Amino acid sequence: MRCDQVRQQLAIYRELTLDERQVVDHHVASCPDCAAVMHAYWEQDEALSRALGADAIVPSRPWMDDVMDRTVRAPRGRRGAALGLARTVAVAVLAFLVLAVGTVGVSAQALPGSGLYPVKRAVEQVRLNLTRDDAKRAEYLQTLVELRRREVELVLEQQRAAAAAEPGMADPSDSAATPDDSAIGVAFEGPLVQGDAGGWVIGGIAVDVEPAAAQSAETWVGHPVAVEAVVAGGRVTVARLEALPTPTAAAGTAPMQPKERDEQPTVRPSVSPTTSSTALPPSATLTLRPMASPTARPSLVMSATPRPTLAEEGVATARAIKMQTASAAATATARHDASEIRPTLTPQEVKPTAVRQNTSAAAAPDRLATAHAQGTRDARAASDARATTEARATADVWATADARPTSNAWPTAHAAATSQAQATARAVVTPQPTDARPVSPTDEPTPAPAPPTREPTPPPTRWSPTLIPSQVPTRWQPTMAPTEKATAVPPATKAPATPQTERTPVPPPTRSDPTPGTPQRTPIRTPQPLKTPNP
Amino acid sequence: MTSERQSELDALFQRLFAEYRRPILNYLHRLLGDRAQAEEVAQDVFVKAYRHVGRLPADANYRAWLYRVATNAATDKLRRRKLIQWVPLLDTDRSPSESQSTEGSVIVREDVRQALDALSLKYRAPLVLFTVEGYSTKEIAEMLGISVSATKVRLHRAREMFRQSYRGDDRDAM
Repeated sequence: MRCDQVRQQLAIYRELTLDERQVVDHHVASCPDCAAVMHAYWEQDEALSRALGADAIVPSRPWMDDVMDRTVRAPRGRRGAALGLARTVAVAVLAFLVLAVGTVGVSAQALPGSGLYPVKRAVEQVRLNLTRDDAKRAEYLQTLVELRRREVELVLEQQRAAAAAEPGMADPSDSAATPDDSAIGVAFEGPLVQGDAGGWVIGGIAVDVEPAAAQSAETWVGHPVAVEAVVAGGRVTVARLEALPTPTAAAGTAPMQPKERDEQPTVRPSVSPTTSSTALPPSATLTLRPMASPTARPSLVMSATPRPTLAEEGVATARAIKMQTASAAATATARHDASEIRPTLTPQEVKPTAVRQNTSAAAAPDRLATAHAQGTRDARAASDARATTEARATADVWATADARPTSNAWPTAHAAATSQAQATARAVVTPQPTDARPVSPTDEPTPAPAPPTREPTPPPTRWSPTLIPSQVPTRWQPTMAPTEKATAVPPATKAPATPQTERTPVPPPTRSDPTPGTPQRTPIRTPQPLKTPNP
Repeated sequence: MTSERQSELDALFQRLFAEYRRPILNYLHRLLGDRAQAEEVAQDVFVKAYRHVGRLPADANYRAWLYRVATNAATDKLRRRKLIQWVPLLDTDRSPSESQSTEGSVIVREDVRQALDALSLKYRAPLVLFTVEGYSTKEIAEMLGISVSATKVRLHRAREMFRQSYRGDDRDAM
């Protein structure tokens, strides 16, 4: 036996059998090291027993009382209370669940008039609210509609069966023989059909219609209706009818189609420009695209003047309404020019146009700009708030893509004005060559615009055709002098940094005293007649 | 749980408490070396025993179970004490005048205490149970929840470690 094995035996020497002890003793007798270990273990036992055995303690009475208080005496109440509360809560929750599930399950078969029917409807509503998918929701709604009709049919069957079982009730369909307490209120939906015998059928259920609802029923024959009725004596009496929206009716009135906007006007304006002026309809937008090659159109020069703000537009308009200028003819000329040019070119298209200026034609926009500036300054203090409001409203209208003239005669009037202006321009302006250079150093040569083409979409900027006073449609009320009419200012909020077009309009041959000014749009949404110029 | 069953358990606990309160308290005192801590841990042991005595089978070894609970409770207590208190284990911490002035029995007791505290509870418990309490390796195995062979191995290692520590104290004392 090796020493390590002997020492393990020495550690538990008292548990060894006699045979094992003889083997160990024989080894220890021949091995001094193992004999020393055996002696050390014996000393350990003596020391441990003497040292620790002498420290034996006796439990004190307070200690034992504490243990008993924490065990046998005290925990019974706490543990019992805790278990009792937990048991009560568990039983209550279980009972609630059982009751709820049972109620919901039983209510699924409930019919109108029963106490569980509201529970059934509430469960249906909850399920409907929890259905997020549109297709499933529609399907479930259709299921509910059919279920409501089926419920009415079942109620009818029950009432008729009960009436047949009672001997005193000969005709189950006789509502007069039915006691009032058997009347059940129902609500269902279905198409309203008038039967051959004059009766009404809603969703396949024959109904009686009360006189108050009879007129509605005659109106909505063939339409799906929602019905509030009373089932009594095996018959359904409709108390209230309400038409349901059909798919076509639900679509509502469709917005005006582009074709309607493109209708050509048939009425030519008859308002004389010398007697009144008409504010430009804010929604009148015509987009004119330039041709690939320049033409002998009246030349345009773009200026770097920033556009006025919306408030300035409105202020200018208000000021223009007050202004009575002696140069109404010149204003009309400028407006004439504007009407010819604005529909033709957008500011971006006009700006790089390289054509020479016509001296006489250039004077008109200058004077018009002067008048506009003066009007702006004077009117700012007077009608800032009102003008701002009007200008913003006008800008909103102009910003819409569906903006269109308020009058159907507008395109015709504009076309006439355009052709007239073109004729004037041909008479005064010398056609420019194709490779003409821009007058301004910043201008770039671009092809001249093509003849105006009307499009339903708004132009990229807030330019609109300016009416020739003589071509103002009759539906437009004259609201301002020709001078103010010419001061149509584009909304600056859209493109405040866009250079303002300074063009060289050609005065019409009918005007000898053109009013200076810049051809600008008047952003008045609802023109108001303030002063009628003297012809 | 019915009142009869609860009464039976109360009676069983009271019997166990009356029989093992002193051995358990002394066992914990020998393991921990401090009476106050021994009483605190022993109280927790019996509270745990009261709560779980109803789950034991009827033929369970209550003594071994109580000692196991006590050993585990002492282990937790020593672990917590090790975190908050530093116990000097080396004899060099004791001044020569102090060791020379004390009597031999007190010195032996302190040396044993020091050597015993140098052991971890893994080896201290079987050593105390075997040498002081007088339990067999089989009983110790049941108390500690280990096998008999593991108990023997632990006991042998505990003796070797205690011998090294206690012999060193003897040399220092001389």
